[in-house]
Amino acid sequence: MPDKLVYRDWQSVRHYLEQRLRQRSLRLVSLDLFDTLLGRIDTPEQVQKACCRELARLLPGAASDTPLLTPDSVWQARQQAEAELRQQALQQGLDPECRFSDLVPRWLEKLGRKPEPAQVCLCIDTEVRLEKLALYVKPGVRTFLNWLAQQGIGIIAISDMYLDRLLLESLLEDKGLQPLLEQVFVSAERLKGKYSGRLFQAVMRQRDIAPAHWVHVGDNPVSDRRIPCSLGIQGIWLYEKAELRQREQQQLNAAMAAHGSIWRGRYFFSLLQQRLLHLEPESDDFYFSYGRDVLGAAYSTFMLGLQERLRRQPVQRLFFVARDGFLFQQMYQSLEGRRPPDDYIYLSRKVITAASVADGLSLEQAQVAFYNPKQQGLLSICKVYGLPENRLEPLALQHGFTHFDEPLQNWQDQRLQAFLADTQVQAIIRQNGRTQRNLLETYLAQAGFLGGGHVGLVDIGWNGTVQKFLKQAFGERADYPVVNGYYFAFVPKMYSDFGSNNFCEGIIHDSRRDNACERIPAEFEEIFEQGARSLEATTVGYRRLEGRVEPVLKSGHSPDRMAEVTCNRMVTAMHAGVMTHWKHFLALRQLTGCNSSDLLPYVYGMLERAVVYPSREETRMLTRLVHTEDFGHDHVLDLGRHSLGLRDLLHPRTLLASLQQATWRYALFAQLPTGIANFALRIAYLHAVRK
Amino acid sequence: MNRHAGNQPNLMISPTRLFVYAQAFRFSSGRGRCFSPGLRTLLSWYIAHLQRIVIDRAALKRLRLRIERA
Repeated sequence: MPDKLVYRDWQSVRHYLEQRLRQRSLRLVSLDLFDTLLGRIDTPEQVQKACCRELARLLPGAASDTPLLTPDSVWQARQQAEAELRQQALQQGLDPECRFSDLVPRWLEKLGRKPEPAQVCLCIDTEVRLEKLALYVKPGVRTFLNWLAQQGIGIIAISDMYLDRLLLESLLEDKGLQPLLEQVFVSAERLKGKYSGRLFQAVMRQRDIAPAHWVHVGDNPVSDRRIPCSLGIQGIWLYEKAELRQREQQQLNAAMAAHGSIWRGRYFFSLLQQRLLHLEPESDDFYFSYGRDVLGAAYSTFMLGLQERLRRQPVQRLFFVARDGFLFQQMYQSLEGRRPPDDYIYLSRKVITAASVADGLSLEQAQVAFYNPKQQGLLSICKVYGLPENRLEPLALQHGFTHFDEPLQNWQDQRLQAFLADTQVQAIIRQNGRTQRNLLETYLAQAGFLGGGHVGLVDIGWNGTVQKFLKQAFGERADYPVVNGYYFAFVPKMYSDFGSNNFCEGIIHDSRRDNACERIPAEFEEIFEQGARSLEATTVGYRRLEGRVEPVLKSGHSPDRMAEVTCNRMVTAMHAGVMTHWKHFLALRQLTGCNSSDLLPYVYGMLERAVVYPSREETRMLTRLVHTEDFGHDHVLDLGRHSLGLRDLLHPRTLLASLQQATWRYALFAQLPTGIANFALRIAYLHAVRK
Repeated sequence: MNRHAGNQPNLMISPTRLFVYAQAFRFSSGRGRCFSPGLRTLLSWYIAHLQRIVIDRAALKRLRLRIERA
């Protein structure tokens, strides 16, 4: 009897085979398929359950007296059908095996369905499709097979599997292994398994091969080593410890998923990590990795939530708002199946505010321009509302202003009130506002928003200013649509009433839900905006061009835009990372059937980690991004490059001021060891918010 | 492990770490501890995890190999 060999990797197997080839005592190598050549990101049981879930949804209804299908009833029927077929094979003196093509008709009968060809096909296709999603070629396998293929010996695959040979071959084709294998033998074909030795004997007869010239490799110490050895075939047990550990971890994650809370999401993302590890090349780019691992999870869950809402309440058209709706539109367009048509709509707070002064500028409106710490008085007002500085500056001089860009710390400044009360000033403002408003109205009609019936508006967040203003300005029009605004995070601090038929919802965060733990995107809004934004400049107005109204984008010569352009490479890398995540997210959505509420608890945890407890590398790299705002200024926002040291803790006032002004306050403690400072700050901040 | 590696995908956060993070909410507002894994479930996870470490399957398989050879 041959030695019972155990090897830990493909390299060692290759060394052994090289010896045998030198001795000219090798004519055939057979390989086990599952867990040997092909790895799984999920257990076979979970894949079968996923198939049952899909079939419960996809199988057409039968007669009215047939009970409604549930994933569990479909699973039970499958188990029964399989057990019967295995028992039947045993009674016929064969091994307790079954063939999927026999299983499916019986399974359908147990579900009260006639095994019509279309339904049989649906079951088979669903199972094979999901198997393809769960399988990957294990590391080192391709190199090994390519080497083996050059040795001039036979290479076959032998598997104990319920899928028919043709189905198995289609799986191998999908993974690119079929051309490297001469033949595939499967227990389902002859109802003879490896574990009884019958399948090896059948192969021996068919291939007319002496056992002494045959080596078999597989991961099962019994059916891949002991049994072939007992038949005189050299069996090799491929024992890969890391793979075994991974399978145990998969089983533990799957079992823990039943506990709900974060566990379901953790299970989902553990599968996603497996897919990324095995199916995607590694990347050294920090921004790509950040997009893939952090933003990807948040954006994908948002898009899943959006899909669920669109299914519940369909819209006629979906508008993705510039610029942060850009990536969401890319993600939306990669969805398969029927979905409402979509469009990218050029809107910004700047164009909205410019149109909002069509009836004049009030003191309250003017004060909006002063919220910026770098405000420049009247100049800021002109920038925010798109007003002509050259026409207003001479009038400002008449009201006591010496410098048009003088910051106004007193928001009730007498000069300002007099300036706004000036009929000449208001006439210029109104004239400008009306022009902007007319252009915006024409653009909205041209884009199909006005007259759209029932539309969806997708944006990153936060106050819903655009949606609020559009309703306010054009809501009286008979063709103004019913609008469903879907935001990544919705924090309506500025407005509460959005009017009739004008709905808003934050999918990841909605402050109206009053859940402190989901507030995390609002703690570092800028990174979520940067990760989703398009590469083009912000919209600053509209113009008529060849009979159409076109958006006018901010000049490439403005300082903030120039700074922004230097960051476009980083943003593109983040987009690529997010899209990679999304591709695998969609595959796993089919495999697990998870919905957004299953994933959200874990996603909140991921975001809490990323925003409140960032690593030094994250802090260093993310603060290199330049953040601009679309409110008309040319400033860029400092994302917090200056972190605090231990000495700063001795100066509480300075510390407090730094924390209050910081865009990303948790990044300030990046240089302090451990996350204790961040934890303490988190507690303090949550207390303050509550008050 | 939980920090960003920068190349290999890293989507996993230890449940213990999440439990600790969630305590910040417990010590402050007391609302929305939605990403806490729950103490009991966390303990059951630890037990299952420890079983995996303590019961060295590799050693068991090596033992089985010896018995087979004997």
